[in-house]
Amino acid sequence: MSTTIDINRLSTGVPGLDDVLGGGVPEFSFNLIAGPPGCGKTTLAHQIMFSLATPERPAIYFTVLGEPPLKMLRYQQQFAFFDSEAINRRVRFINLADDRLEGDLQQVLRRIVAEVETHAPALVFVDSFRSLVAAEASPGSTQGALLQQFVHQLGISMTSWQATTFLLGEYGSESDANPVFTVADGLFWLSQNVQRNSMVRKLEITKMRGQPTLPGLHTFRISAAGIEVFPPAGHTVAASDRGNEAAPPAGRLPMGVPRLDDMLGGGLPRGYSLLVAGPSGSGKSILAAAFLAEGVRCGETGVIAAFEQRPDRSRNRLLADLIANGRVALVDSQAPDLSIDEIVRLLLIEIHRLDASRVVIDSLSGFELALAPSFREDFRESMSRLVTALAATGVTVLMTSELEDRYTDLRFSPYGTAFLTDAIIVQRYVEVDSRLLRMMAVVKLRSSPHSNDLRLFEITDDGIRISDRLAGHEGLLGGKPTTADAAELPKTPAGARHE
Amino acid sequence: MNSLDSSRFIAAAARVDDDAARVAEVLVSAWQHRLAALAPIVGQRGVGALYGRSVALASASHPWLAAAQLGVKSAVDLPALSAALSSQTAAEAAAGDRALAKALSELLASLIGASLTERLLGSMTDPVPGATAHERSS
Repeated sequence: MSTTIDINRLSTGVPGLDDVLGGGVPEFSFNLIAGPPGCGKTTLAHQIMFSLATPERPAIYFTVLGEPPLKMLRYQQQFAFFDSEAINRRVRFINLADDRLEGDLQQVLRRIVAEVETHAPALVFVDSFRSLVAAEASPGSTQGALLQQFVHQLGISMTSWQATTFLLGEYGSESDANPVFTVADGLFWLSQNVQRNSMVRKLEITKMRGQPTLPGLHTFRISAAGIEVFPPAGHTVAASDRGNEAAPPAGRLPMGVPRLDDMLGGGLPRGYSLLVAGPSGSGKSILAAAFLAEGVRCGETGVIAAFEQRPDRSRNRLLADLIANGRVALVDSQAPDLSIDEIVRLLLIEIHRLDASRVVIDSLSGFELALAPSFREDFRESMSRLVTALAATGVTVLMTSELEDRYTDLRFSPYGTAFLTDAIIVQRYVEVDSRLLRMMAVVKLRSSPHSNDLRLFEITDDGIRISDRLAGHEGLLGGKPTTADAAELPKTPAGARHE
Repeated sequence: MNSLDSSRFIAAAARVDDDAARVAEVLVSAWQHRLAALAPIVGQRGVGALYGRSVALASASHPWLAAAQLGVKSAVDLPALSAALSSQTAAEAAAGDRALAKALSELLASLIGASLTERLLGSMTDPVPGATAHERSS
């Protein structure tokens, strides 16, 4: 017989937070939610409270000197999780301002304990505990010592009463209240990082006794639905897609562009990530749309994350129809200040919903712009996480990337991310016979033979048409090829040649 | 606004004795319960502020109510309300009381919404002395 205790973990009801916490909040734990004003402490506490409180396991929310209770109720009810019907039933608000103003900390503590004894809540929130001692200035004792004493006594009382407790407090940095933090079982640290016009909210579980949390800063977003935490992309996948990892996908996918499959040695290997790089207007988005359409034709489904322009009928009818039919899901996040983890979460939700096998990100350039500035600095690392997370689900990924036309050097990716992908197709413009033609080549296909041809292609009403190799020319990648034999004319696509 | 309708208290009072002092007593008792139920959530000072604002609003139509809360006070002055109600006829006291209750209800609704107001005010009117089951259903 086991003599160790099984700690029950409570699901917080905040999407993504349980993953970061390592399974939820331990029952009867004593937690601090800390951070600067406006970082979302009260919202997080309310969301957890409304999610966890039941008539059998009610919650008490103590308000002290911070936000006036009416203001708090006024603003918190804007969130979808707020339930007016729950007030005075499974959720009880109690204001301690009078006790604080008329008495000392001990009176506040006595009042809290008395209310807890009366109502026997399973959940207790104190918002904010730091304002309890902010005005305290008795000689000989520092605020820190008072606070620690108060928190310590409260911790003992609440644990004895089997109440899972959350104290909220304003703190600017993690270093200014260490003695208090030692008392807590769990420490939720919220912060917000403003850079230029963007603001990114981050959550860190700096401490959680008895369970492995996900280390580091995790972005979260506050919307009308409440808080949503975005655990690291790799973790989300590892937890939900282990089955796919065990059975690596096999076979090759047709690209939907005639002759391109031949260039790829029989199609794009399933589960590969492909980077399509080329200058503006070279046909990357059309290739991406053909890739998705071919999947649908073969009975598969797809997901596209569009960061440049929303696919509509006037611009890309083929894709718009696929989206309208529900065979391709559109991740069209217009939210500013995106994080990689957030977009990966959005993609994974759609991939799982449709059981999709093909994913398009159009384009990385637009994606980079949509990211909050603070994430752009480590874009390469973020890209790596994105590719890893998507690859782990077994989907085949096509990403487009704007590539500035430079004829002095040969580059495949503006981000130095080329090594991350399994395959690369590059598109370029070349001047041939006083005309600007498009050219395409497969420059990389991991563990697979592929064509090394530089092929001309054109964009017609029916899509991309790939022609033969541009024989007899050299210096194509320099943009201005010369004929090896002046008498030999380039073989350009039928119909594309100007007679 | 059923929860704040004072007609049942008036009915209770009128049956006992059509006396302004008795009416005032019943009405003040109801207010005591109302405010006591709000106090845990917003604190005594919060209640005082809401009550003071309600008195100011209701005084527009019933000027004598102004005497129910004189000056800026953080606590509710129920004896002053009792005195103000007692100085009126039973009908006028009831009308003033209704205006005050309406002002409080509308004030709260403007701050925290009708639904939550109903939840908070609705939960505190039942244990009113003098309002029997028969009167509640009538």
